[in-house]
Amino acid sequence: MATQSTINSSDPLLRREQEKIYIRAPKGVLKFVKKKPLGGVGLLILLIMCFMAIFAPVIADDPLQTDYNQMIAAPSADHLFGTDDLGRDLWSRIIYGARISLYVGFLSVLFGSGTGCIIGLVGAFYGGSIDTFLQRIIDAMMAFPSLILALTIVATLGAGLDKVILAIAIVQVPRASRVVRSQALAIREMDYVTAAKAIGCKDTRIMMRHILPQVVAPWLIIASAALGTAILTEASLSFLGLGVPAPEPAWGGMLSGRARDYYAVAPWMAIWPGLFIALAVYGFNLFGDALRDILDPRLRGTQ
Amino acid sequence: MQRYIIRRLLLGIVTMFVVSVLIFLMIRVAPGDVAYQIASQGDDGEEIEEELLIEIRERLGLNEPLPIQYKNYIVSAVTLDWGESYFSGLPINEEFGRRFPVTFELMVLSVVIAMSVGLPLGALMALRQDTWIDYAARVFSLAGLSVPNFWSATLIITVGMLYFNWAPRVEYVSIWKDPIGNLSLYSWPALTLGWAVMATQARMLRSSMLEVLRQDYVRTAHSKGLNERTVTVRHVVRNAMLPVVTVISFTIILAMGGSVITEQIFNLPGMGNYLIQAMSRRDYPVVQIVILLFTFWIIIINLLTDLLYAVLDPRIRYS
Repeated sequence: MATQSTINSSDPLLRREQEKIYIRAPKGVLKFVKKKPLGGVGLLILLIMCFMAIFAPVIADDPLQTDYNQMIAAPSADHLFGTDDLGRDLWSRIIYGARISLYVGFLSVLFGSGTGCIIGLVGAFYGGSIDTFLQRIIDAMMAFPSLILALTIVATLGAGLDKVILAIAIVQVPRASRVVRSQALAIREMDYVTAAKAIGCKDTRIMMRHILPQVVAPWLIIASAALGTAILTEASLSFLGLGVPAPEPAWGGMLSGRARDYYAVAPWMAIWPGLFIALAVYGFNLFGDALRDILDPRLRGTQ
Repeated sequence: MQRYIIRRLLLGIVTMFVVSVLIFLMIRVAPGDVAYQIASQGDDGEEIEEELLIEIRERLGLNEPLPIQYKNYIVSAVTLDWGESYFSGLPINEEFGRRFPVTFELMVLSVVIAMSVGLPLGALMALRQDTWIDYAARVFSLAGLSVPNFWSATLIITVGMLYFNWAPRVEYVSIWKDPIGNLSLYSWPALTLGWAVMATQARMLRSSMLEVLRQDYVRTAHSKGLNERTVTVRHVVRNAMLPVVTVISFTIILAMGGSVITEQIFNLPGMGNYLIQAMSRRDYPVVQIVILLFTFWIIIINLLTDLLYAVLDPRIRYS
């Protein structure tokens, strides 16, 4: 059974079909959903989250508007998800919270995994003392559990949206750089790279045109897995009171601090934010898993 | 082998050196003056005089040049005389003696819970790849990765308060004094942390088992007519042992990070709790030492893992 699927995934016909997915987008999405139903569910969740984030002003009211006549009101037609201890509408806060989560997620992955990619590429290409130096720093960064590293950085920089993004980005550098580096090390030895050197290509050109395209697939796999983790880390930091500062409707922050005193009287305050964190992360993870299966059949189901 | 261990230990010292410099500089760059925070303890809105701040800085050695401060830090770390917290005034060694067992027990319990579910589940997923068992288990384990453990803990506490008139115990009891009370104190924290750890274990084991299942020797075993059971027990499980060691050591480190949040929610007086408190108050000596300790454990765990490889797999010889 297992051997069967190996044969399948190395079948050139099937592989061509997999590659087509990315060429023809609308049809590709259909095929993706058909081939990976769980990935399709993930994609759907992602699209809903993006919709919430983009159209927040249309579908929700002001998330900071307090209403002291409507404190800790149960879910009703007026307040779909109920209100919190300051009478703020939880539906609006959840919708706007999607903005923060996705913003932090995408930006931190772009910066973090992007920087990691460059470090890995440069280290692998030049080797020698540059590589050793970079890898020692990466080692030191990896000697922390990632949450503790993020915590330390945020504690250093102080609270704030941009600082949270920076902290989460830094945490992602080591993994991306390791993966890209190991891939790039193998590609550096390829004949076509030697050939490019022989005809006098500049270093940057070899890196950008000959090596980079070959590391894009593993990088995408890492980055898509990192998105869910980034959102989870942001939520954890905000929960600890070290993330996005208070009045902003960050999902993690909505579960922390004084809100905890109201759980027994207003369980909806405990349920919605956490549910949406879990849903968003779940969606990203499902989608990332499916993407990895398609991009790299050898890595099925790792991590 | 000996040379390998020595080399790894030296590398570990280099890593700890880099970490110590980074953490030393980072907390000092951080905004907020620790002397001001100490002076404003029990603050009644009065203005704090500059002389007081200077006196505090002098007492704590914060007016010394940075290299001297760094030297003091390293000397105290190496001589195992870790100094005192700026705020509580309690010796860090004493706090460590009290708090380390708490975190250690939480980590051990959650990793054990995770292993007893995660490892069989991961193996089952691999052996029944692409059946409904595999799909159901993947959906379940992915949920473990996605549900933030501070939320599952919150739900447990909320449900407990609403329907069972139950709340997590506030006071801590040692396992030596009251084993049952201690385990009931740990059961929910260990379960919430264990679920997340379990998810990672199951998924990692699944993928490494799949790799073993695709090896030539497994196909050979099948084609020479061995039954499924023998192939699994003799050839697959034995060779999947190495990944299991990696998975376990990886998840111990994962649990270390997760314990920070779990301790916070369930009010367990462990190392993570200590670290968060110290960070929010800029308690330099505590942050510096605790971070270094975390690093030290991780280096040791990684070293032990690699050595265990050599024991389990005779093909691996370090030199």
